[in-house]
Amino acid sequence: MSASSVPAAAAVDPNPANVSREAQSPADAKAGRSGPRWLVPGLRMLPVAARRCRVRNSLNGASLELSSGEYAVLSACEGCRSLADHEARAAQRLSAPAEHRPAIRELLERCAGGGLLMPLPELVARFGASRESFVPRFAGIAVRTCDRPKQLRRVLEGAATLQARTGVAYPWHVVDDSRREESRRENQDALREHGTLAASYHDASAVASLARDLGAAHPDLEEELHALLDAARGDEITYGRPLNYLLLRFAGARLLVLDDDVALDPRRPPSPKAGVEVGTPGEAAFWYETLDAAYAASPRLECDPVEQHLRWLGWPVAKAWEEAERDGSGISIGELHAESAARFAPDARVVFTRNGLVGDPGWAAFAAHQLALGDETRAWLAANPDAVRYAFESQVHWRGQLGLVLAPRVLSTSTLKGIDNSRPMPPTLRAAAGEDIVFGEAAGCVYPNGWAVDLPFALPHLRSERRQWLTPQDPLVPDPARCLVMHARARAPTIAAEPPRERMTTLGGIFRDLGEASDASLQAMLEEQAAQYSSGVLFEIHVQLDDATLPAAWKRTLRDWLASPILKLDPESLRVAIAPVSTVRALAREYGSTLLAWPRLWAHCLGRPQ
Amino acid sequence: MPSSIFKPYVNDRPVGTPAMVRSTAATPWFAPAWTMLPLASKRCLVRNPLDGASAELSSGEYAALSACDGCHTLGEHVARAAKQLVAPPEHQPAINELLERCSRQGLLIALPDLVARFGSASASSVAPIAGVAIPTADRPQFLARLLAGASRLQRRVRVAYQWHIFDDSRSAESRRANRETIAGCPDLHVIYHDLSTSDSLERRLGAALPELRDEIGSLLAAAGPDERSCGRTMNHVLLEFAGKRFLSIDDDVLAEPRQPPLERPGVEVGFAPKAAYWYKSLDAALAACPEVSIDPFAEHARWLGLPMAEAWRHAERESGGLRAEGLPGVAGSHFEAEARVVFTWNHVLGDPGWSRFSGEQLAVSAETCAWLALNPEAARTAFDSQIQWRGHASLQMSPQTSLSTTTLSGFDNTVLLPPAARTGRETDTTIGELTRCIHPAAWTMSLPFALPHVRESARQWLSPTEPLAIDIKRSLIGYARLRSDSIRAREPAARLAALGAAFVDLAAAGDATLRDLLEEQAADRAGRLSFQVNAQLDDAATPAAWKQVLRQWLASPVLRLDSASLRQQPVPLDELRALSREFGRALIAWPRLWAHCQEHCR
Repeated sequence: MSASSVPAAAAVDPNPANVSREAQSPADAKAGRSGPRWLVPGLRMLPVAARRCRVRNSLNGASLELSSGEYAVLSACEGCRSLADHEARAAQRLSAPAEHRPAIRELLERCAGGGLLMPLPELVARFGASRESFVPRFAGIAVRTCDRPKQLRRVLEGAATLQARTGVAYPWHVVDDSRREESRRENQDALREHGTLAASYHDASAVASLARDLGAAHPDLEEELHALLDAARGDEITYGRPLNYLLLRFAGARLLVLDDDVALDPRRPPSPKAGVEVGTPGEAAFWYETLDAAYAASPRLECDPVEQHLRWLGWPVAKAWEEAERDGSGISIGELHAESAARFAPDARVVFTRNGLVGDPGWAAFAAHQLALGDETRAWLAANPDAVRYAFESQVHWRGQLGLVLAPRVLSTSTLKGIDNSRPMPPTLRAAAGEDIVFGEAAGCVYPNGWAVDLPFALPHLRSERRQWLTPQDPLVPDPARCLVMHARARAPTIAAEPPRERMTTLGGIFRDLGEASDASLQAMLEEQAAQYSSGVLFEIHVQLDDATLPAAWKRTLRDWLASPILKLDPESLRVAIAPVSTVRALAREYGSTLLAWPRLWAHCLGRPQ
Repeated sequence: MPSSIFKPYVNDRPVGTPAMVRSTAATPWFAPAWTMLPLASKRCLVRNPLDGASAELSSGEYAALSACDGCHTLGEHVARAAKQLVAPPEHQPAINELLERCSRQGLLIALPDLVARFGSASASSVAPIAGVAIPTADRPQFLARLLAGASRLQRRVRVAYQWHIFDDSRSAESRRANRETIAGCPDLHVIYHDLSTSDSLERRLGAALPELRDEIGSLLAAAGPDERSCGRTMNHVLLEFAGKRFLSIDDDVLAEPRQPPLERPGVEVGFAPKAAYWYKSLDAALAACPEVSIDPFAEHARWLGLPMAEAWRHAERESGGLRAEGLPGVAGSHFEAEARVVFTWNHVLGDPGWSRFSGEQLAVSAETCAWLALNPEAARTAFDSQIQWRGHASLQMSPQTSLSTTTLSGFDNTVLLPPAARTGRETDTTIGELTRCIHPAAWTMSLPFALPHVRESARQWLSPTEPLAIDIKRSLIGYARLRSDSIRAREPAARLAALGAAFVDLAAAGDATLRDLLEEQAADRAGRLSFQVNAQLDDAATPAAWKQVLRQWLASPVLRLDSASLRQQPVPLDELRALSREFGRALIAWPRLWAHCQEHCR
């Protein structure tokens, strides 16, 4: 879906007859798509008679009585478009004959005038006046590392180069979760060698010291502290532990988190877009046979990636919106879902910033992303049908946004991500795969009006070994973290509290409640989740199979995946596709307890000298 | 080769796993609340959440399946779906083929399979009724009337029940009069609980669980002089009878069972609305409902606390049999091994129980509509007469826990039952709704006899021109209903704690969220009532006189849905927050109080 240009309108006038006189682009005018954009918010329908209903916009309380036919037309509208576009799409969706178009138009104008559709300026006005507000302190860039001294050395070299080039000395924090003494020694050597960097070293003793301090202040939270900060036991993978440490250690500050296998070498998108898009587009993905080919397609970008993140991170969206409007190409409106409307709120803030990646796309075994291509990727694939050949072989991808995106959603996974920890961010799972998606989802629950900024550059993500990806014949080992994510997503709308701490407590209670479910109930929930997941992927595949523009070879590849055990939906397949009930229960209980404890721990750290 | 190789979403029943029930043309098939997952632009996967069975259907097939509801034979389902979809006769064979396929694949459940989910019926012994509670407050004349009736009943049925009087009277004079009444009934086994004494349950619990003093106070403390405190009294009753079955009778009830004016043999399963007839005088009502020679307490005790496997078996043996046609899809989750009859209640004759307004009066049942057709003049007095018979024509087994304590009700307090808010109205509605939340498989029996509910003064009912004030307790009940489906815990205590946490969470909501919640609730109620009124207005069978009455109500502020009307009333946000926080904390504490009383208050 290509974004459409929107004139910036300051005044709010809900009367479509008046707003349609506002400026319009010549292209829109020629196409008859005149006037400003109207968002279809979440609408509630209350039947009042056999064929009459009252439709209500809970965002502004506006309501209208409509016939069932009128409601069908209104329901066929979605996104943020001009009335003419809404009319055309609704008519197309309902296969309405041309003679019905005037009635559809009249209805949509009535809905717009009656407040069921919301003009974009009115939504933007809900942010309130943009104030030159205080920007939270920036704690620095934290690099999580674990027994990969060579990669850490590469990061530090990149940091030194960046500092030399920009003349800005950012604070760097290396959180060393290495198991081997040798790795820790090499890491410290590397830090000493890069003495020009303002770098601090946080090893296991720093984490232990923080845990001791917190334990002394909150002896009743001993178990929760273990669950959050304990060192790895045996083969545990503890990606979450350093993040929990960082969130506590830098409570009250903005923070950038960088993986140790990332190079600080910003790259352009293969087909960059100017301006700022507001919306929730899927990420673009292109894959290459070699890293050189990828680099050739995405040349080096002379920018300071840290500065790019800090330009947006932690700002009120009112301010970010103003900033985006000042951008040379202005704001364009992309795909805005009904749920986005509520995020146009006075407390809306950029809680995460992310950039793209070039190189390893990040998934360990199977990613549904590769089977559900976005519009840009489909267009690219249509133009480069040869890329089908190595679609599931190449581990060199470019993934990210082609232009800057101001997104009314909260997602945290990235090679370099900005976290606005000036207000309490939730903890994550200490020792489970998927800690990043759990963190992002929990943050989304705690900040329902949070936004993310996707930056249009990529950083290379360079692994030394190839990953073992699944083939269409392989089964998928179920991921218990995914169950928590889906449960949190399903339950988030039930949280009513406003303050983040209370929301976090409620979320903790939701997970504790899940931990008390019976085996049968948990099993049924996990099977339902598995069915939702697989059917979602199947739907995406079928949409592509129905797309005439896609190469036949790609469709053959997709058909191979149709038979994958991962996508089977019969009860027996679903039964084996779920994580063990006992594992999910234990994880839910533990994560719930840590969420309940976290606001106290975070508040304690906020008051601690940093 | 199984079709799932080609289409992973096609689910043939595995070889060797035949349907549990050999169905016949007469087998009723239950339509559960399916979940639908889109698979392609015009294909979807439909799942039965009760057993995970699923099938891939086209969008047209799904439309036909979705048109099925209730529990009918396949032939009836086909006819009903065809009628709903206005399908031409030539489409009926395809609908028939589809529904047969869905029944084979487990999307429709044969009623015997559904009932088998209760487990096997065993002649389990339920505990005896621990007593009959009489909550009373400053109405000594009513208590005297009730006990006199109880005495007569005891002589007739020769069963000596234990009577527990929970006296929440504010005046010492009332308490003295009540004691004198009790002393005047030496034939009755009466235990008097004076809720004003210093040696109260509140004090004893506070001493045993000092960390819960605030919560104990919020549930049990004496009310102010002008406060209604039915909730306080009921909380005392629930704690006194923790771990036991008991009955509770309102003090303004006469212990004289009456025959309903409308009777249908057998047992009905479902959510059918109550029928209502209203009369010009109590004498006319009593004449229409002659006294019946039964022991009302024994009738309640017969069903109260029964596991549903057993209750179902008893119901099947009732003369007239069992009818389950009206069983809605959402009732499927009530067919569980732990399902039991947690509440029993009977019809009311006299004051119907509501203080200002009830939507029940606008949404009359088919039986009432038929009665109005025969008695057109009754339409004019519908909102004047406070002498009504309300109940079900048959014994009704309901997969829900709406509770009415207007006359006599049974409580299976052998399992944890929730408390009510200490003050204000809606005590029974609160307990009913919270019980639904913590016992999601619970059932209620509605028994086909009435007890007279006779007040001294008429109530001030709402007229069609008056607005209805926001009732924050009702809002909390609505909120509990919204939230209860998201609770996952199995144990009732954990479920109650989760619900308490949801109330505490609500107390931290912003003004806009709370306003929106209250407006949504008001809109829901107004929308539902409007729909019911309009459905009657559109029905040719509705008597003209009744339509006239309904039209007046269509313009009532209670049914208005425009935003100005919904926002007209001042919203007591702080009051809502305070009650939500206090009651939420009390719910979290309640299982400990209940368990303590179960163990120590013998």
